Amino acid sequence: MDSQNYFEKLSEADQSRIERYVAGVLSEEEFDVFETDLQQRASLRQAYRQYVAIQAGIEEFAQQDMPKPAASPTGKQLRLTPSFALIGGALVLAIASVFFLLGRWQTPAVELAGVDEDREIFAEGFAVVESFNGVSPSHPALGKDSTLSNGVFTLEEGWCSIRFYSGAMMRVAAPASLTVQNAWEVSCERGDIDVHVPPAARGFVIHTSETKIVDLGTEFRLSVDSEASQLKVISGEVLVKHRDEDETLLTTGEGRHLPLNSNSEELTSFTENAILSEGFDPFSLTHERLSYHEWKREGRGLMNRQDVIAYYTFENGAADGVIEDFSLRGAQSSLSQDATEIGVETVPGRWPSYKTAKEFPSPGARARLHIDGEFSAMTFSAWVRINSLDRRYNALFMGDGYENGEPHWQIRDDGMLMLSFMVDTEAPTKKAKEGKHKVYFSPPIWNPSMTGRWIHLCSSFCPEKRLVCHYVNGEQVSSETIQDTYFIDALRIGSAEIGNWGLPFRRDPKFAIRNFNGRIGEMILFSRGLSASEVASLHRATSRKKMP
Amino acid sequence: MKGDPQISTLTVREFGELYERFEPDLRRFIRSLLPPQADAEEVLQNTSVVLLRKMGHFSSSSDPDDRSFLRWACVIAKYEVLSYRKKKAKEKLVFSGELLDMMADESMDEQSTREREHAALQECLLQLPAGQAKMIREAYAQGVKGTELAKDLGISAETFYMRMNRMRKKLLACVQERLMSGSE
Repeated sequence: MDSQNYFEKLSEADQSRIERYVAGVLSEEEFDVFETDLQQRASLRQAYRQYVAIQAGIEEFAQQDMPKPAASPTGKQLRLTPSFALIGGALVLAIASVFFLLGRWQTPAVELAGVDEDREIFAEGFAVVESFNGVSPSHPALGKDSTLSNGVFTLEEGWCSIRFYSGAMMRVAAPASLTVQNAWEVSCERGDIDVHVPPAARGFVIHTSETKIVDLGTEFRLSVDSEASQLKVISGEVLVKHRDEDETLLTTGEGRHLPLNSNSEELTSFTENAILSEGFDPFSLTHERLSYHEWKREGRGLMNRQDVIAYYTFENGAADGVIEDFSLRGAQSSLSQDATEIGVETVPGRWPSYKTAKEFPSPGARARLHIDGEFSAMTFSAWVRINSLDRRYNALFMGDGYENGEPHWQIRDDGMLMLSFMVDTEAPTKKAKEGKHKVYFSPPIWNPSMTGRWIHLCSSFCPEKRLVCHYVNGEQVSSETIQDTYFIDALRIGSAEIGNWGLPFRRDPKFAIRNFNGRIGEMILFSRGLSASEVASLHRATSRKKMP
Repeated sequence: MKGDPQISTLTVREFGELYERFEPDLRRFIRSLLPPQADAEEVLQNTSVVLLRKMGHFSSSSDPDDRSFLRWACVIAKYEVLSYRKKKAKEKLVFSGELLDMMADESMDEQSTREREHAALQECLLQLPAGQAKMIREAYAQGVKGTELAKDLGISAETFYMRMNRMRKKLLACVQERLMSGSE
């Protein structure tokens, strides 16, 4: 029988059922239908078996070189399960001998080489961080322009570039562990690094546990793990001393494989680190991860801002069915500002492999929240991906009862962004029976050609300046003056909803359906009217960046 | 498959060698009926014990390409899966005996396809960039739960599974590409 991609031929729904069954997350109801379908459809069974085999093959690959637990008669191969207990001791011995003959008993994994503890003490740093995008457990507060002194530097995620005061430049990709000795010397215990040594820094030395590499003015890449190092000279010359071998001079294009506890060999192939090599492998998620990471980093700044009322990232948090508020205000207030999901679906966000977003697929779908307090101005910011503007009014953020001072932020079906605050519910007009209020419109900012594109929407209401402004992707699209009759500067939120508006006015039991058809990936409320330049920088900070 | 008196039965060493050779296929066969790795490993272990106990019934052949050992082992594994299922029947999401029986028979017919797919998969995996391979190793390390790893990575379990599903699909496509080009 020929091999075909049976799995790929299935519908997405069938693929998802198989994936979820194997992951153990299929519901009982779904399972019953799945089982019946399997019984009836040979093609589904075929695809299922193929999927499981691929899964098992990946696991086998993943586990084959992993360090295994130390040898023990109750180790992996011969765990004493009840079935074993029933078998005679002689048989157990026989089986043990079979596995012994096959050399299955594992020896403990080789310990990583220890870190060089012999460090000089200097008052000042030896290097400066030129760029940084990652997580460093040894230096949690590390950022651009931080100084590095002698000592261990670890990088768990991402990458960084370090300029030593000798002039040597080093780029490091995680996971990595280095020990900076001085401006001229560094040890690398683990990691992929790329070193560029200008003439002034000739003689820059890198140690690994058994090798000393002296750079004679060049560029080279080094990859170090617990078993071996690989060295490749990109240009120039490098002097290598491995264990008790003679020093070797490597020139442009040459490389050495430097195994622990044995002699060096010529390097036959060198796997480029995707981050360090130019361009990115389309199969690699590294680039997306870095960009996501950068967004997370910017997010930490937003979390600590005093003018942020609430900050929803729409990532799956600790609890199901809750959209967490990450603002400082939320953390400090006794009442949670988290939003509760009702009929909301979790979908891939702007970094599809890393971040989630939320959709509001049914007329009943919404995220409900409650925020106390009174504000003299407000700004709304959200990243959205509109599928279509199905409803006359499509809700972004809506105060429940539209009481005095409560906001309605939405998009009309003709693509106009709308912001309004109820001014006086006791003064209904002919046009607005629910009370006196004014809707501030932007020109149309969306049309169906933009379907599926993530956009940043921002609207500010600033009574002090008597101005309401709308922004798209950081650029101002409109501004309108607040007239005296519609002036209000006691703004409240109270109970409100993201993505829908389902509660009736106080005096009108009818309510319209306004569920937002699309994804919301981030929403921030500010207690100030942000200026145009602040909105532009907010857009930059929260957008998906192109990484170097 | 009863032993033929004309042909010698296996020594422990011969059994060990045959078992060693076919264990990956046998494991894949069991996994196709029982996806959770821990369950499959337990059944594999039970099966290996039964095989050893019954090795006197298996007739060895001098042909090194003879796959009759695997076929014999699969039949025994099938019954081990069925009896394991009975023990687990109280748990949710376990296939019926009827379905398992049908799948086991179909699986046995697919052994050679699976073997070729497996070889192609290993090549595809070896060609992964180092970072990708590392991610797979971390994700599939024994005893590591997806949810825990997702937590370590600071991502949701859903995102994690999404990522893995994408990776798996790409690998499956790579496998097919290799098999296609290999067969031309």
